[in-house]
Amino acid sequence: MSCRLNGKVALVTGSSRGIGRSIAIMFAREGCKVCVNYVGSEDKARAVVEEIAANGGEAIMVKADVSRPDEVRRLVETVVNTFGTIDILVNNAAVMYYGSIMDMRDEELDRMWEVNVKGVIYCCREAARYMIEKRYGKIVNVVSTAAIGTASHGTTLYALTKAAVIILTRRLAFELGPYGINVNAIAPSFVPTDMFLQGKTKEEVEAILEKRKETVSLKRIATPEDIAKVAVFLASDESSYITGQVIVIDGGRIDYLTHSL
Amino acid sequence: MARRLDGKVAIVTGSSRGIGRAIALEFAREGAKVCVNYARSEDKARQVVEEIKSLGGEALMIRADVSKLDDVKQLVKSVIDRFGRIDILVNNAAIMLRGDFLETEDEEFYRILDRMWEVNVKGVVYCCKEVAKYMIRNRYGKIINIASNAGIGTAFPGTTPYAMTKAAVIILTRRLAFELGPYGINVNAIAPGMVLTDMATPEGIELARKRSVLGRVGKPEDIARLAVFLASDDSSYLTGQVIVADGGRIDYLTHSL
Repeated sequence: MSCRLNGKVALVTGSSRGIGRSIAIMFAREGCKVCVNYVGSEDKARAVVEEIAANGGEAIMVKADVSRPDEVRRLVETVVNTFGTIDILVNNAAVMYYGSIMDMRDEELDRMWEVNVKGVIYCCREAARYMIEKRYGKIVNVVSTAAIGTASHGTTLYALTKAAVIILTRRLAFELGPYGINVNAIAPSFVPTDMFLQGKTKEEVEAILEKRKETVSLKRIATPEDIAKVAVFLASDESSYITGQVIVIDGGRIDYLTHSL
Repeated sequence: MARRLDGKVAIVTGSSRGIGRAIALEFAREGAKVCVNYARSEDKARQVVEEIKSLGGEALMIRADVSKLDDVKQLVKSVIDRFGRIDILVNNAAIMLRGDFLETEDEEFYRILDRMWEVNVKGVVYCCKEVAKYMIRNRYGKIINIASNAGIGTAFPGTTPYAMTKAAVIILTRRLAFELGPYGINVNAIAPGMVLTDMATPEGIELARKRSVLGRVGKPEDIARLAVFLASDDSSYLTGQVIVADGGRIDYLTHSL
């Protein structure tokens, strides 16, 4: 079987569940050794590692809050000490607080900034040290269509943090390109993960999904695998001439805010 | 071995050489049956078909000028007659005629503009329209338009008329994604930067290399691998997107966000 990430080593932040989990599992299936990072959900992280092992893959789990530089340094060191190198970094860990700009609490805004933006910077810096040395690396940042400007209520400040990551992606591609490092982003739209399903009845979920479908050209809702498959492409050498790009994976949403070209 | 386009039927326009050729070969390697279209280079098209056959693949060569609606109808009909359906359309056929807004003689400038409009824009519209009829019936299809980073706005000399036609293809991509999405058809574009083909000049190659953060120009295979991704179900939730593959160019023109 041809594995598209054979022998590579990847760190996927926030991969105990949702999109991160799916990326970790798909990377492993493509022959990659994976570090499953988590901060709160130890049991779920263990389940991901076990699933990878059951498929014949190799994975470790490392607890680290990406918003703490010392923890990030230790995280990356653990990856390098265990697997000898780091080829791929997927910055997936993020938090989302829902609310209008008028009633969001400062602590929530600060937390999003710390995790979603500074967390990505910390991880990029620590991983890039090793990537620069070996003149090879793939960084994939998970952003959001919110940051490009969907007409969705309650996510303005979340969108702001993701927009920061978009420009970071483009600028880092410029800074790290000469060292053979590709930096790209994927911008998923609405993906119903555990977080979304929590506390809703089946009927409520169905109603929301039906409404969502109406704003999507393909008339269907994404699965975490839809996103993970694009991450594989960007982590592989199939995309070696692509850098600084943001790839939107939204099924063709029709509800973007006005913008100049 | 699970190939990523197993059993699929693809038309790659302008695939006797360059990027189109690389796409046709890569598609065949991934298990697709390929229609190699050409307008003039019959010998080169035949070589592509022979190379595909030597890989154990299946291919058909058809001569058609995409700027002629009758040719396109005949092309599509031939593929349907032979393979029964069309899953993938790559609109790659295009011409690049250099024209400088100020330097080129008026008559010549308008001639190249019109000619590129016929091939690069209307050719794509014709192919999309003819092929979509079959894709809609199957509730499945992948359309990939080869645009160019010129169409987004690079500071590259002599390519303004060409860039205009590619910008038209970009908006066509986005609008068709909207129109065809409900039928299960994904429509995306690839915007390559400089790629080593016989269209590229040595000066252009050197300029593009210097202006790319990865310090290199593209190979046809770089674009072909992206085309495989967009033709495969790995990208099934992607539609209406333009993916730039240019090694990270640093010479884009100013634009609002």
